[in-house]
Amino acid sequence: MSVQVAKAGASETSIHAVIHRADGSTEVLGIVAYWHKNPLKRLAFRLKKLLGG
Amino acid sequence: MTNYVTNAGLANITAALVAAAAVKYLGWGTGASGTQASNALTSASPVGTSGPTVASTRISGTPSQVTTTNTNDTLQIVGTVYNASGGALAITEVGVFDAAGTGGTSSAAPSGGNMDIYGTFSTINLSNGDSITFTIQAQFTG
Repeated sequence: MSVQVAKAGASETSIHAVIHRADGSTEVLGIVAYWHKNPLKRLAFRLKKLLGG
Repeated sequence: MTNYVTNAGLANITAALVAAAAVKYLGWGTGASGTQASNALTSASPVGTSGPTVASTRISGTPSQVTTTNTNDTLQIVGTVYNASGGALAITEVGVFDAAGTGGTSSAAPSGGNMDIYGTFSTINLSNGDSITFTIQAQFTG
C-alpha cells in the first residue's frame, strides 16, 4: 500500500482593516498584515509598505 | 509521481470551511508574539458589538468563498469588532477562532476554542466606541 501526501494548504493570508471612529469618520488602512509562503513575496510586501504603497 | 489538489478540490476545501461555519469568530489583542503552536492571542483584549456593547463571546464574522487565483480558492472572513472597554485600546493583533468562547467582560477577553488564523500589525489606537472591520483572507493552493 502506498501513501500519497499532496501538498495543500494556505499559501497566502492577508488582513485588511478599516477603522470606524465613534464620531462617524472612517479610515481605510488597507492590508495591515500579509503572509505568503514565498519569502520573496513577503519581502516585496514589506518593501511596498515601507515605500508607502 | 505527481500529487496535487485540483482547483475543484481547493474550492471544496473552502466550501467545507464556510459550510461548517466554525472558523469565523474574531478576537483581538495588544500583543504581537502569537505562535502556530500556542493557538492563542498574545494578549487578548475585550471585544464589543455595535453600541458599543460589551460582548461575552467573540465577534461572529461572516465567512465566504472568494477567488484569488482559481475559482473559490480563498476563505474570507469579515467582521467588525468594537472597543467597548470604556477606555482606549492599542490593538496590534487579530485572530480568527473556531469557537465563540465565553467569559468576555469590559476588562477581559472571551476565552476557549482554538485560534486558526493570526496576524499582527502596526498599532491601531482606538477610543471607546471606535471599531475595526477586518477582512481576513486565506488562499489555498494545491
